[in-house]
Amino acid sequence: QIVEPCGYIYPEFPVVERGSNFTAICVLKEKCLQRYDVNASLIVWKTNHVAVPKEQITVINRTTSSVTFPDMSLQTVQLTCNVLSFGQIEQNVYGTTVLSGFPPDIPTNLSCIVNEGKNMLCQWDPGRETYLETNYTLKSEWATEKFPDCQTKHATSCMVSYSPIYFVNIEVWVEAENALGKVSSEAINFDPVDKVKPSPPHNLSVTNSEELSSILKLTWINSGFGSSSRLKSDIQYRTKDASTWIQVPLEDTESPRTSFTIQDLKPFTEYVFRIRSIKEDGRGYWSDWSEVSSGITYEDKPS
Amino acid sequence: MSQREGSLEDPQADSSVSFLPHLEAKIRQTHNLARLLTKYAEQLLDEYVQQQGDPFGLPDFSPPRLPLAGLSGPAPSHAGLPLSERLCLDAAALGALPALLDVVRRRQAELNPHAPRLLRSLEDAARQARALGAAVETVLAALGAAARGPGPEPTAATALSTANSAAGVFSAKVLGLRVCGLYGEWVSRTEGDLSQLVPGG
Repeated sequence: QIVEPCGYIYPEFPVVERGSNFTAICVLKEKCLQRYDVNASLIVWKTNHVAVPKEQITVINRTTSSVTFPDMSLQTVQLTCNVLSFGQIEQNVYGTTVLSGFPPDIPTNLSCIVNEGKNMLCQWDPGRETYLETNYTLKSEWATEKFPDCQTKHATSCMVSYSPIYFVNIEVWVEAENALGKVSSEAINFDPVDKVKPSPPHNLSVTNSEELSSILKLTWINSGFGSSSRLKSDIQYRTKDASTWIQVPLEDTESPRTSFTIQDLKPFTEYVFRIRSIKEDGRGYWSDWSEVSSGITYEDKPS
Repeated sequence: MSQREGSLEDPQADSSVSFLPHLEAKIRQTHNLARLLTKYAEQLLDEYVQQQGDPFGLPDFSPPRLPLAGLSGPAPSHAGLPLSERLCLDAAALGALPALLDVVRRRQAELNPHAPRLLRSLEDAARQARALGAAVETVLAALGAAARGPGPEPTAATALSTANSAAGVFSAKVLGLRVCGLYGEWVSRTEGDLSQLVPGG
């Protein structure tokens, strides 16, 4: 037969806002009063095995004692209700854990990114630490559709389970909930096509020109996203031994392309190139840089 | 150049008409969506055929043309209709297709339980058809040509559902093929109709 406790603490699993006032009561069972010759005045409250000062304790009636903590600041407290049976043997009646923390802040700075080929990842600022188990739920919906919630205890981001559909505006917001409260961020409304980080361009190749020793021609393949949306490019280059990159003016590569000729180079010199891309209207994110590729300009003809 | 909310008197007739920026953006977005879904619809049809087994994939296979109550393909005369009427017909068809695609998905879940990608594609197609239909209706509303009330959705899906459950395996597969085909036809038709609204389209 499982030993039945002689009393209970209420509330049983309290979660308290840090720094606030907290009161618990311990209620003894009538049948225990006679059996162990006890009453509420003999109750000894302990926190983490240390007796609570008498001034925080109030005997409410013969079965009930209360204890008050004016400023709960510890994250976790083992609270026990004990009683001196037969006036001298201290026995534990009941115990519970008191958690203290904060309600969640309203999540802010919500933003989303669609890494090409992957599902959408949204990130946010959760605000202050809550010290409590806090669930974050990323909600998303079209005007015509609700999508599966994206739930995480990782407080700052969530990758949705469905693949992105471009050209349909989606509304996204974050809900944060713990034992002390539930809040919701502002919603953001956007077309996922404007949040794409394309895969980098690939197959970058460099060819020189026998006729013109000051040029090198680049060709490359844009990522698959380029079939959904027009991309513009960013090209940088340097001589093989240099450390700083030279920037091709962005206005020169503003329109979609898969090749570009670099001019005014030194003859018979090895150059290294890299390229990245973004949606033509500049929305979304720059791709990572492509793998570098190098080429050597042709020798000058003897004059 | 006159700028107003825009109207659907045939835009080519009055090329000076330009839409308000947000409306133009919505038209472009909807047209891009239709173009994207046209590509997806082709992939869906290929995927569907692949999963049905012979004779569906055979080059000389020509499926019987089983009637599908409530929804047919765009009529040959569609292209000659006023643009607003075309877009209304597109929206109505796109309104009917999700339920039909769902009926096909449920039957395919029985016939091809080990084809998760097809089932997922059918589910995505239903969702995307709904989104495109809603977007076309938004464009129509902004242009002052509200779409007609609910299209043939209930009857078509009910009819298909009845036919589907009564049909044998082969007929059910043919009906599914028909729905996937209709989906592609109407999405492509919608793209064509919208392209006439896209400034410089």
